[in-house]
Order: sequence, then structure tokens, then C-alpha cells
Amino acid sequence: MRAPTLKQTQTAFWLALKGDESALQPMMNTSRDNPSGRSSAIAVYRSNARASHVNALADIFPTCRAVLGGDYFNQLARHFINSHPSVNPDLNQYGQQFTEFVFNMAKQRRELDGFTYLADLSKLEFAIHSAYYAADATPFDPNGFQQATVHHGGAILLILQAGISLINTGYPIYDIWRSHQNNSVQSQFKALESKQYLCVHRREYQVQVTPIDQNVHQIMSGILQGQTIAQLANQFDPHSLNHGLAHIVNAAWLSGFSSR
Amino acid sequence: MRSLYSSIVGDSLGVGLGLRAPHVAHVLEQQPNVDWFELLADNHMVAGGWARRQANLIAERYPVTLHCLGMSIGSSGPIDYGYLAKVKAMANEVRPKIISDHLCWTSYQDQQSHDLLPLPMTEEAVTHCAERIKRIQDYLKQPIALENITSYMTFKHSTLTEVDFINAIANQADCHILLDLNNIYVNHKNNGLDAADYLNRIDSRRVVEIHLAGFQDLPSHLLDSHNNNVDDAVWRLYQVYLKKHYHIPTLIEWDHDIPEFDTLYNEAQKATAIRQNMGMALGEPRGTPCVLPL
Repeated sequence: MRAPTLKQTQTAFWLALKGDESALQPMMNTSRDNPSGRSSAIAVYRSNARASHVNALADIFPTCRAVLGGDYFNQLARHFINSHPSVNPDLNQYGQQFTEFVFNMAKQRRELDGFTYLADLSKLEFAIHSAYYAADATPFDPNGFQQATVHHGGAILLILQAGISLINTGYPIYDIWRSHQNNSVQSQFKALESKQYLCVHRREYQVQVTPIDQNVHQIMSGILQGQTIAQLANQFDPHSLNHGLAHIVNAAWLSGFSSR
Repeated sequence: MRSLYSSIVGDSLGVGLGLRAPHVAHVLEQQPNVDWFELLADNHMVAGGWARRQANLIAERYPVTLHCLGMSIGSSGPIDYGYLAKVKAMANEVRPKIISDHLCWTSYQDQQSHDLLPLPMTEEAVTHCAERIKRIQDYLKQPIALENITSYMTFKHSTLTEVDFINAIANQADCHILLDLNNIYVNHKNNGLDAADYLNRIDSRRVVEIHLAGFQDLPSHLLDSHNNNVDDAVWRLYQVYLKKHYHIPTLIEWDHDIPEFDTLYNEAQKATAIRQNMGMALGEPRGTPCVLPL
């Protein structure tokens, strides 16, 4: 019988990591050379791989973990890992779909009744994680912007700093997240109706979560969607737009501009 | 025998520590007397922010090496040039003395295991890995060092011993070797690897770095957990290998249950003392086979 090729070996190993050991077991030697010994060896790899993913999720979503408790979070994380394999060698990029996953779980699982805010909380935590690793800010050039408006008028697109995320939630997740930063107990929080608009950004190396008003949120959403100054002007009354843009400039959330 | 490559990169490095997040502030503030630091490339391989800045600040103060996890050198899938581009960009900033990754595979098709998976030690795998390393080195425009990994099994269809496998790949790819003595010991205990034979026959001209770490002694096997002091048996391997190669840079790794910085520092001091003793003992007959008190 021909020896398995490298590709066949790796296919068998990968299937074993996913639970089907039938192709790998006949290829293996272990110190306890019986099916149980071989299964134990595969289990070491399976456990290592799973731990890498679970630990990454625990690092990204510490408040969700605190709210749910470590055991339940780990159980949820393992479920997520099975349905959402990592596709980037950089583990810092993992977990983006956790928010959608948590949203669906909260609808399906009875024990998550009352945790409907969890998806938004995970969205906030992933935004914080992304901002932490985002590209460094480039200063906005107001003089260049002024000149550009002369040449291009309303066809100018504003560009926000890398790593900025906007959160629009009906739950007090800012308060839940903030109380976690102070190591207070989160479990007594209830999913109160409380509309919140948040901007997640980084000042130098410090990630900040700043509550913003609805007007600023809508203008920033428009900028993120690629709306020009003229399009924004059509959408907002002059006072609201000026107020909102002044807020965004003063907060140093703009990095540049381009023309369409 | 003097390492071919350590004459270029190694002699001045001495004993380094793997830099981990809990120690960064201490290192930057106190600037401890450590010869060099190994940066886990994947922890700093980001667009910007504090993680990236940390790497640059450390590199401004200490010699550094870059240790990677994601090249997936033995994978049967395509090379991930996106990952290599990040390594290259980081290398251009921190100017590492050595870039290393593991002799293993970590990805399958488009999925990542984030674990170091073992290869069958066959001629096919030798050719495959060597070709990929050549392309990686061409892209990075510098040689890489290949680290031997731990394993909890071997493949029946392997036709080479582990030491012959890594020697053959390093020779065909013309790359360096990162010799992890803890991994050799773990494989000795788990798989019956002949550690003495390994140390006698590893191509030491290519060894540019030694890794030392701690394992976890479980009932059924040793786990390469990097959460402990270096075991006495591994220190003995170190002494034996240094008898012939005292000048090779050494790194203390500690990745989990990370203790106070001083604990790692003390391990580095221990390695330094052993190196100094071995250096002073120069003049011993060279080429004497290693006899391991395992």
C-alpha cells in the first residue's frame, strides 16, 4: 500500500481535529499505541487549537465574559468556534462575527432571556479591540481642506480616523461596559430601554468610548458611508451640519479628505 | 565547532527573554540588563497602536529577534504572502537579528488552527518545506530560522528521524535552525526520540539560537505548555550542547501563567552562568559525542 501523501496526511489530521479520527488513526504512532492512546494524542491538539481561539475571544470580549460567567462564555465560544473557523493567521482578526452569533443565540436560548443587549455589548467590545490595533492617526489638514473646498466645492469626501466605530443601541451598554472597567458587578443590570449613540476611537494609544448625540452619529455614519459634503448638506439642516462637523473636527476624528 | 551563521548574527546576542505583554511596561521603565528580547511577531503585527509601538520602543533599546507563528511552512496550501508582508514590514521597522518560525503546519485550505501541527517526516515533506522556505526567504530577503516543535504522536509513514528531517530541510533551503531543547526533551519523553543522537547530529553550523522553556508533566505525556521554569533535565541538555556550542544565543520562553519579570530574569541569569562556565572551559576536545544524563 502506498504511503499517504503530505496532503492526504494533512486532510486526515484536519478531519481528526474536527472530530473524525478514522483516517488519521491508522497513520499514527503514539506512546500508548491503541485507539484510546491515539485519541488522547489527537485530543491534545484539539484542545490546544480550541484554547487558542477561546482565549482570543475572552481577551476581546471581557465584559461579555464577565456578564455571562467564564464557564458559560467558554461554552458559547466553543460553539462559535465550531461554526466560525478562523481564516486569518493573525488571531487579532478573529471574532468579528461574534456579535451576530450572540444575537442569534440570545433569540434561541432560553437561558439568555434578558440578555438581548449582549449582541450590542459584544459589538462595542469588538470596536474597542479594533481601535486598539488600528493604524495610527494622521492629523487633519484644515488649510488643505479649505483650499480643496474652493476647487471641489461640495464634491469632497471626509475621511475619519482609522479604527473609528459607531454604535447605535437601545440598551445602556455604555454604562454596563464602564462599570466593568471599574470592576463593579454587572449582573444586576437589566436590559433597560435607553437609546445610546457611541463613538469608539483612539487618542494616541488609548482607546476611548465617547457618547455622542444622534445628530453627530448620523453625520459620522454618512461620512463612513462615503457621502460627500454636498450630500450631507442635502440631508441635514445647516445648523445641525455645522454643529456636528465642528464636534467631529474638535474631537480630532477626521484624518483627511478626498474629492469625488 | 563554531556555527557558520552565529559568526554573523549570534556572538553578541547572549541570553534573551521572550517579551510578553505583562512585562512590557517594566522593561520600558526599568530597562533591565537583558541581552536581547524576542518579539512574538504575531502580537505586534498590527496596523498601529500601542502593540506596534511597544515593539518599536523595545527595538530602540535592545537587540530583538522576530518569532513567528503563522508562516505555516509545511502546509500543503498556498503561501500566505499577506502574512509575510506584515512580517516584512515589521522587520523593516525593528531590524531583527533573526526571523524564525516553526517546522510545522498551522493552516489547512483557508482555515487556521492556531496550533503547531506535526509533519510526516518524509522526503516529500522535505522537498515541499524546503521549496516553501526558499520562497519565503526570497520574499523576506533574509534567511529564516526553523524551530523544531513538540509532538504528541509520530506518523507511521515517516521515513526520516526528526534530526535528519530538519537537517535535510535546512540544507536544501539553506536556512538556519532554532534548536528548542525543551521540545527535544518533550519528544524524547513522549515519542522516544533519541535526544543524544539528535544533539550529536543536528547541523550545528546552522543553529543560530537555542530556546529553553518549561513543560507541564501530565500523567500521560509532557505538555509543551511554556508555563514553568526550565526543567532540570532540559538544563542538563543545555549544558551538554553548550560544551561544543557555548556561543549560540539562548532564549528563555514563558507564554502562560506568566510570572513576575524577575522569575524570567533569574532563568536568563542561570543560562548566562552556564554559558560563561562553558566559555571558560573552551579547549575541551571538540566533536566528542554528547552523553546525556536523562
